[in-house]
Amino acid sequence: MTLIDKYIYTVTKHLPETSVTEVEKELRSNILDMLPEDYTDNDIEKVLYQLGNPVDLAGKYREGKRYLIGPSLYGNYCFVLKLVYIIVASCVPIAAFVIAATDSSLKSPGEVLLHVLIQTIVIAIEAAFQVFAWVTVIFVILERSGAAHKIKWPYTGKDWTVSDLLEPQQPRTNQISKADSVILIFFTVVFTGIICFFPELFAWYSKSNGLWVIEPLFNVDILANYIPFILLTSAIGISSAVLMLVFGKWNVTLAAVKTVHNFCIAALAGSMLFNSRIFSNAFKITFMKTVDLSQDVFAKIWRWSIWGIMIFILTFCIWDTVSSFRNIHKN
Amino acid sequence: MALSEFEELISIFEVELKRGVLTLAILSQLESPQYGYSLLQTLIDKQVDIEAGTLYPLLRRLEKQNILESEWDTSESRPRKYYSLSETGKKLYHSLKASWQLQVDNMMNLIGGAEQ
Repeated sequence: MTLIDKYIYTVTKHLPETSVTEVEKELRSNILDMLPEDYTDNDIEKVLYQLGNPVDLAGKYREGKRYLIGPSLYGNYCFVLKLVYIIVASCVPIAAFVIAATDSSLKSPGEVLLHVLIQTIVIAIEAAFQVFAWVTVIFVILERSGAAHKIKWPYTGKDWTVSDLLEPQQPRTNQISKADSVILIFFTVVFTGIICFFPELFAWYSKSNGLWVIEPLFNVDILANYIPFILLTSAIGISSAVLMLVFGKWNVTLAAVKTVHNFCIAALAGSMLFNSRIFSNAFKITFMKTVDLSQDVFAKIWRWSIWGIMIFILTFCIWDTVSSFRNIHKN
Repeated sequence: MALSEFEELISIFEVELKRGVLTLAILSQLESPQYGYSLLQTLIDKQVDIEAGTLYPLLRRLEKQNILESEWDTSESRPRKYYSLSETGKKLYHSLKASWQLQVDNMMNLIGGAEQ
């Protein structure tokens, strides 16, 4: 096999069978034309390098579309994919709950909860791949069938008119919406009220022989030591919310108060979560028995959960502080 | 911007600028039949910046679009494929030539020559 044969073979290898013979014949004729009268191997090499990468050349010879979804459909494709993902994501926990709740082999609420969690993850992963595959397949078909060019103004199949235009969304500014302050005040008051005056509401509720058994989460006498600090933190929180209402936009004072508030939340959460005496043993035992776990495993899960909650709170506080300062410069 | 980066930028824009013109250049030389390599030679002699690996597939594509027609000449020692404008190709060429002329006039008006 000569060098020319090898080159031609590499080019035509991936071409559709109908064009192989013709391209082969044409390419050979062209290469021979490009060679001098009594050519050497060296001359052949020179000509082949001139023709360039055989795979690139094959690409130029190939007919038809060389992409799955073209630029005219790509935007729509991304939009639909995102939309379907949002819809699916909101259905997944419900589906997981239905599956777990109808599974008669699950006895305790703890088991059900665990199953809901596992099923959520399993279904979410499965759904993610399914959605991706189906949306892609549909768009590839649209692309191939030429229907792409008929999809005009977002999916209506018609030309756009000025009446289709939307009001521009309000740009994000350093303005604070009143709702934010009101929500902050509401939740601060509710949470503080419950934890200071009705701490026994945080509890494990179970039904035994038709009667509700309530096992409080906190050791109330230990919790009582924290009440002044909780009230102080809440006071700072409510002050910041009031300042938000007064100023109506972000400024350095407000960001500073927010920082103090977040620092207090983090410190308070840390000192409470890592004080093992604050949580009642009775609660832990009930929990452990309900989910049917050994003491070691339960202790481990408990520890992880504490860390998890702490990291979550810390992340939130840092994010809230940083965004308070960043909001100052938004216009 | 680094020099090489700028050169890269130039080459991207130049490729884009030349892409459409290339077809017109090819069509202009095919009123009488030519085979691939002779056409390449003609174009290169006339300062058209084109590579063999670009021209040959492009000829084939234009043939598929019925703009060119081809014929194998087997009378010589080895067969050669001759391309020439089809009826559609001739019409297309004349129409493209006119729009190119218009384009040139308009562009000269914009970016100007000596008169500005």
